[in-house]
Amino acid sequence: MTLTTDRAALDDWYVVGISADVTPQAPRRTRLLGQDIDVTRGPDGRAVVRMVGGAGDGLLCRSEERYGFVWTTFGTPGRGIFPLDEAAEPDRRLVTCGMVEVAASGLRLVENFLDMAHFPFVHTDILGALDKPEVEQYQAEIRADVDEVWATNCRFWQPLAAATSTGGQTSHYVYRVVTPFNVLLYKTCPEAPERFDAIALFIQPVEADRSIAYPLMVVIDSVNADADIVMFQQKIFLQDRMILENQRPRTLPLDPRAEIPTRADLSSVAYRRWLKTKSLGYGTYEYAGA
Amino acid sequence: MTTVALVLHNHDLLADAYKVRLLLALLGLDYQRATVGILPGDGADEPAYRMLNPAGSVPTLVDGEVVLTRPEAMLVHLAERYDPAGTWLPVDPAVRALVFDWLFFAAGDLGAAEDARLASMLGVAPRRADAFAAARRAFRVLEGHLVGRHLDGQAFFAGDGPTIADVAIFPAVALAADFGLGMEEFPRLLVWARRIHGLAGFVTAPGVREVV
Amino acid sequence: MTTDAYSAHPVLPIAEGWHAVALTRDVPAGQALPVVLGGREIVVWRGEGGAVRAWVDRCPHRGMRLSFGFVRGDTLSCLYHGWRYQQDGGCERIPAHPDLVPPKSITADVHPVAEAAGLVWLRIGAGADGPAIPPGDWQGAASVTVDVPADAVRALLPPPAGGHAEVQPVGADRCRMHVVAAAGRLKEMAAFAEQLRLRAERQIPLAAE
Repeated sequence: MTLTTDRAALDDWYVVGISADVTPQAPRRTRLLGQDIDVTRGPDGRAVVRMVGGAGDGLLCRSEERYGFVWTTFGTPGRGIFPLDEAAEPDRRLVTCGMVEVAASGLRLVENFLDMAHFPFVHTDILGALDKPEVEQYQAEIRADVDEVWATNCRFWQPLAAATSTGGQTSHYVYRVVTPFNVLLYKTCPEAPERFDAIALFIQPVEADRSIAYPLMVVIDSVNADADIVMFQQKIFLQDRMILENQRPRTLPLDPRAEIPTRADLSSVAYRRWLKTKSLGYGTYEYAGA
Repeated sequence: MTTVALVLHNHDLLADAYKVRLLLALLGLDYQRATVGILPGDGADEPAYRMLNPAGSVPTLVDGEVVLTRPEAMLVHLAERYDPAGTWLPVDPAVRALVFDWLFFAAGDLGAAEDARLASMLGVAPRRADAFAAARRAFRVLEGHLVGRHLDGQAFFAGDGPTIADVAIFPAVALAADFGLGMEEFPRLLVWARRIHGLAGFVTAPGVREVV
Repeated sequence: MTTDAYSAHPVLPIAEGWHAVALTRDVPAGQALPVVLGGREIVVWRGEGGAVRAWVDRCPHRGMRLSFGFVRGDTLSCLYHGWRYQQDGGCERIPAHPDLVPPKSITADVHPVAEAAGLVWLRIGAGADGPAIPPGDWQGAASVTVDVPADAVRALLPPPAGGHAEVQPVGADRCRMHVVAAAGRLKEMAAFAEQLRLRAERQIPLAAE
């Protein structure tokens, strides 16, 4: 495997590890954009990311730690790691939910995260009910000022919206794609209905058709132990994983003739348009390079 | 209010835990569920859990005085204590022996499927090398057996109806997609799995399809 | 089929015409199952009314494999968003928009399909109206996957009298052999299938994938 040459993919920040799991005892060998790296923690307590093999063997990469994760970049991002204000609120639980490998392009993972129409079929009796599959009209746009994709006014009936739910609710969602491989959603918090829980999915594109997903919960929950919050999120993610690994092609086709969006897919339509404006090739079906 | 005697120390992701949750649901039993974290340093590593289950494995079943650490033993115990009709663990010695044979297969050879699955999902190093190939071999054994059973006019692994042999085998088969084992090689397993989905009281687990 | 290019497997040239891909008895009413033919991912399914179908294993919405779908009546629904397809391949319902009549352009990619001699067949490219089958009353004995090229298995055929085998190429080094038999010979032919697999694979360790 070799490091990609896709400029748009190189010039961005990516999660490559969970801070609490990155220790000086043993480096973690992983791969980003086709390039093997070691992620470890130096004697000064700072995370260290270094390339292994290939033309850049031994090269030290820029790294940051934010929201409980180690981030790195191989290029020169135009901006820092995006803001996530909820992470700083004192009554929030910041719960990292481990990491899961998925044999699919990270772009497919983002689209699945943005999608509500699958809730009744994939997350039956949790995030959706089979007798209430309708997706009501919502809005999606590319916000050029912040260079993010936002979907607003999203609503869906959910039998069990979160680990804190005791019954059904109509959840209100706002989706926010901050980079091609990082996406968040804000949803009605069952415990404090005037505020929003935030759930993030940070994706490490290992190869064009393989990813590691790092879910993060930024929630108000005074009831459940971390293990239960994590298990709820992992359950949801595993239900999606079966779908993600069985979509064809594994990479995301940007050709409008390849797939058929409906009104319920407005956010994914905006997302694909945004990827094109960025000339992001890595993880798409059409990208001829690696 | 009566206290519930049955306590399952559980994790939703594990196939071994699903074996037990599935039988508890098929038997219609009430039980308490306690989540045990399975990542290194989590709940399963804590001294309190190790006092209960020295091997630190998940699940653990507590039924009053009885503490069990092997899922197949949990299936036997639940069937013997709570299914006096002998549906799930037949009394007939020949059938019973076959049920046990499959329980040991599920714990042994078929365990490769869980190795392959956890390796595929979490990057956990599998306990046996080439877990995928071993899982595939085990699935071939299952498929071959179901072909023979079908030609004998039978739909389940042992006996005339579903038994704890089917319950012990089902999670690995239902979760095969998790480690990318294509079911195009195993049509009888697919037919059988759909039958299991149709049993009264059936419950799924994360990664097991909801709608069939 | 251009959508074959989206398969997770390399697509190999295979003979035009009819290919057996399953035993009839392994596709009961209400069942959908996956088949890989020369790298092509295909869904074979049977409606409750009894008619079998073979389509490219891909929902045109977001590419989810239809072999994971569920059968209701004579329709197949995709597991991802529940898009529901009739037996002619046309989409009849999109649950996210219950009042929408799906455009006729939304269809699954359909293969001509036939049932004969206890087998389900599909046609690749042009060819005869139906498969060439040996005369007789055949029932399904066993299907086995063999980790050798299709021609290596063909070289070990035919089966003993009372049996008939069709070989389906799966990949360059893998095939499936479907064995049917006359009444009363089913177990014998199922055993033959297993023995042939062992013989054919004897020189080759079981492939990891």
